[in-house]
Amino acid sequence: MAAVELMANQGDASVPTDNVMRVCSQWLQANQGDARLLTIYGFVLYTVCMSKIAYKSNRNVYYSCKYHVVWCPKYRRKVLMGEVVERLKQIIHEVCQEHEAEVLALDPNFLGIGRCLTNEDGVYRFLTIRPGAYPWKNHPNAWRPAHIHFSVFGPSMLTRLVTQMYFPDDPLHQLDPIMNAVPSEQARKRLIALYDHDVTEAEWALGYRWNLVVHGPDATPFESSEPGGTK
Amino acid sequence: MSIFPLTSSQTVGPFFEPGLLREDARRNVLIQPGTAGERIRIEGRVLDGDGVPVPDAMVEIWQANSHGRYNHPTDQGPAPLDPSFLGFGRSGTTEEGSYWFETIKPGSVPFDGERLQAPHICFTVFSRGLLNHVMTRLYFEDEPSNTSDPVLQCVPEERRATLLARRELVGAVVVYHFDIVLQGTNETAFFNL
Repeated sequence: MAAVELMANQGDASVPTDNVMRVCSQWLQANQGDARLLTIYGFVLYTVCMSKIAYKSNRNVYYSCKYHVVWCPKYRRKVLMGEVVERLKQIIHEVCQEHEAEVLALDPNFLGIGRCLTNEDGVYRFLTIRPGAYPWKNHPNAWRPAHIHFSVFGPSMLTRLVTQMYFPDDPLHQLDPIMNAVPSEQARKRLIALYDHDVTEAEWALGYRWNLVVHGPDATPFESSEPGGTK
Repeated sequence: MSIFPLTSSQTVGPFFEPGLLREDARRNVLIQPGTAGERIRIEGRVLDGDGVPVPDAMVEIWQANSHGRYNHPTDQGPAPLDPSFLGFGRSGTTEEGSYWFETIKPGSVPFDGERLQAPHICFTVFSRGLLNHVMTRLYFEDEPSNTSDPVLQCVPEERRATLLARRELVGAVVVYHFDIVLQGTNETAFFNL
């Protein structure tokens, strides 16, 4: 059984700062300038907005902007929850209406958590979105490389594993203290998923393959001496 | 070197709460109305090396039923299964570092063909900053068979007390107190498996 968290996506360079600012400022106003704005982070809300005007053009390009607005955890507090989330959703809708933008998707379409059982061949599968890097203030200009948290149960306590999967070709890998907590380069490489075109589905999703290796059932002498897979 | 080298552990950081401690994923109460055995409540705190509570740790437990059998396919022992007892629990910690479980006191589990183990509960603790989770065992301070438990006797004598849960009767509820100290002078004895 595996439980997965996928925690954040910062979108891309086209994040509509004005919308974010508007949302923030209105949220602040709605709360009488409450200092809680500082702790607005704390839970992921995943939003996709798109202008109602499908295409725009200038001299060189003909384009349609789609915006992904994401709040990701900055401090370790649970703030975007309950009534705050409900009010924030209202505000997002209001702001989008004002800008004649259409909300294509809004939380809870992306919760960021999945769980599945492996089949008899040990195969698991998740369909999700690729997370983005996010800043985490551990050191100056600190960014976590895109990653997905994995929590794995096996047949015994020895096979219990909590780890993180990374994506290939990410320049942030070498800068990340968490990934580099694994001392061996070979072992770090094993945390990186491989792109697999056979897993990729046309017009739908890129495919990655990531194998996890946990202790075998005979890993320690304790295993056979105490059934039930305890220590 | 194995052909299939193990996947390394990585911290889950502060994300237990949204990921693994949602209402449908945590399990503080292990008992059902039909569960056999003595009801107990386990309470404790997870503390760091400075004695400061760890507010975002995750504690998982795994234990045998009151007859001393694990609800697991590899336990083919003669003791009966209890269909209303799985034996797995998961709790987060509060701002004060506290966790709790409502469960039953497990029976004695065989160690090898001859010896029995004292009743115990296996603990796994996950916490931000731990590169790998740590594993330990809770033993019951009032259990006479502790002195013959082969695993407890492996632990250096001066550290055995860190594995003994303190019994207290609160009203009609039997509470066992079991603090887990991750580091420092009173560090809980952890098992390296």
